[in-house]
Amino acid sequence: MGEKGESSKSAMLKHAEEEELNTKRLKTVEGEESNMVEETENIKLKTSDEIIFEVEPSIVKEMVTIQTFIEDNNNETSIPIPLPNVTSNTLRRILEFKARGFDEEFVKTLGMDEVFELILAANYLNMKTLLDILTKIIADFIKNKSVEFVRKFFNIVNDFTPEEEAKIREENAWAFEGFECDD
Amino acid sequence: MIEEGLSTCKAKFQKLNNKVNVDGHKDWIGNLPNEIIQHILSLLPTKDAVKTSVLSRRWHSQWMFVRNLDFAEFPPNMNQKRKLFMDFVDRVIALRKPLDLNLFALVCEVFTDASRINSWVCAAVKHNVQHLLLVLDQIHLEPLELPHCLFTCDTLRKAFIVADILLNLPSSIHFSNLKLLTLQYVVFPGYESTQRLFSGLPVLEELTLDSCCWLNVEIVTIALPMLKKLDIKENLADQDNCQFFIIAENLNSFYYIGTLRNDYWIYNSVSLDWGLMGLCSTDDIGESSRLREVAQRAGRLLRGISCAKELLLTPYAFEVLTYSEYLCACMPVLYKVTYLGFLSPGTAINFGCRALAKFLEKLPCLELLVFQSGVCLSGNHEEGSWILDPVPSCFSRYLKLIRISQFCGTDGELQVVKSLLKHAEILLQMDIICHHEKFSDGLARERDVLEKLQMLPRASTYCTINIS
Repeated sequence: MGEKGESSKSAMLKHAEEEELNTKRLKTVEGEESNMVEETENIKLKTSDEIIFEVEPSIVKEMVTIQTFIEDNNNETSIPIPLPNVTSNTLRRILEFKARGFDEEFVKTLGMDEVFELILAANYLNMKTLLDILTKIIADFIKNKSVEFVRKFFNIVNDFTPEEEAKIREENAWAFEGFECDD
Repeated sequence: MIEEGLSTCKAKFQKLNNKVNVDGHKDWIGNLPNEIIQHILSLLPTKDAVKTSVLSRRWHSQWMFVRNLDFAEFPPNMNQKRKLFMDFVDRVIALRKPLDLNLFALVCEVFTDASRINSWVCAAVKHNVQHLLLVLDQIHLEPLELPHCLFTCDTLRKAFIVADILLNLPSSIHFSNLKLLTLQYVVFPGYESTQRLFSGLPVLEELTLDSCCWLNVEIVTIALPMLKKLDIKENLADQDNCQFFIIAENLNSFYYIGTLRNDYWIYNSVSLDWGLMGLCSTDDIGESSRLREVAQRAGRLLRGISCAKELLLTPYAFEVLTYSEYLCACMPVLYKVTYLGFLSPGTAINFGCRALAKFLEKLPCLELLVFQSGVCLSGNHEEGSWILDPVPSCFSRYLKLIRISQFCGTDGELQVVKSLLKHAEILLQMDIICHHEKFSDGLARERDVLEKLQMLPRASTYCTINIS
């Protein structure tokens, strides 16, 4: 019991250390150092919890929603652009993910709630590459899996009556045939 | 490995999920907007997408908005379940919303359902399908005719048709957007309809003709100005004997495997980067008139791909190209070839054959020379008595890398390596890949031989020898 406590404590410490490291890394992205700025300045984005991030224009280009907004406003970038649907945590994760070259393994270390926040943010910001990767990861949790697994994994409540469910299964019999791998 | 990863991340997800949600388990995926759920379902085989209709009421109709119809899973021994499968496809096509289709993929045995399958392909075309994959088998009970609307589909960008069917081509064929076409096992019935097909591919960039049959065709003209990649694999069982005229100024890569049952005239392939001539031997080529015919055709094919920068030949192709001194002398000089690879599987290239030196003389700018099936030296030569003569000009000016695979440490091979090192004046690298099982006289000798190799004198001071 005690060992478990110790290991979870050291895991939490490690997690906190990592967070600090990541924040330090992201600070360069957030623009506190200007050594990578040529003529184009970093673009200021304000998340829903009022935190301002300074993001490189090349990254903002992938956020089609923001890019379009900038272009529609004569490339006016001095005022921070509000992102009412994106929290600072989520934006931080997006920048982190991008910094790691969209490594899928990174996503698998996140909690399900974070992954879905990322999907919603990627959809809102219209970041196609990010959205494609995230939706593919979710699809992989449905492919070849049994209905029971998918319900349990995504916490989907079955609101069909047993008769209704039986009818759907019968009408689509072939879909419910065959081998499923729930590991 | 994937299973492990999934179960660990499932565990991680569950753990974190439990930690984060105080008010019980939250249905996160249910919170996503419909378009995203439908996007996710579009990534699944249609079987899995439709299965989600039973998850909950929210999910009941989401699958009907998918952009891809993927019926490409076809487990073997489907006989009893075949009716279920066919009914399933019918139902999916009927119920799916009238949205544009990105992909339609079907792997199916036809039996007596030709018209049903025909109607499915029609439905795909009507929904502006962009990618089509059809793998159809068991077509003999009822001839399958692909619907005419397919041949004027202007949204189709990629098509793969694998079916042993007689291609009954309509009078009007125009694929205004088709960039990639693969046809495998299809049977072309006659010259005119075949011509109609190849005239209706204005923007085609990649064409693969694999094991097709050309019944009563005799001449095939493939004049495709945008074509970049052409792969031809002959049907080895057939006796077609057609003349192929290929006119493609933008051709980048040409890949051929067969026994030159057909004759290939390639014109104006000035952009060619890569050419592979995979001539295979068959029993009947031994007979001399056939051999002469094959040699002529091989020479013609080589001339057609002579602009390539990288040239790959099977050892048999090389044998045929060089068997006749006259034909070998007629071979054009291949100024652009910087890479020559002799492919495997095949026989080792024999340095005892004078034709090799003459052949290499025709590649004056050769920089990389690769022997995937190894080298050998025929005839009896006392140790060190054999020399490479004449030394091809590329040896003193361009040749930088030589790679010899399947090395077994025979005397012949050693003499070849010795001679190559002696004459390749600017060689940077000699790679020798040993075939450990076949090494002559076993592993102990192998070590000796490798040591000896490293000690060999070389003309180029910068040359390294890598042995693996």
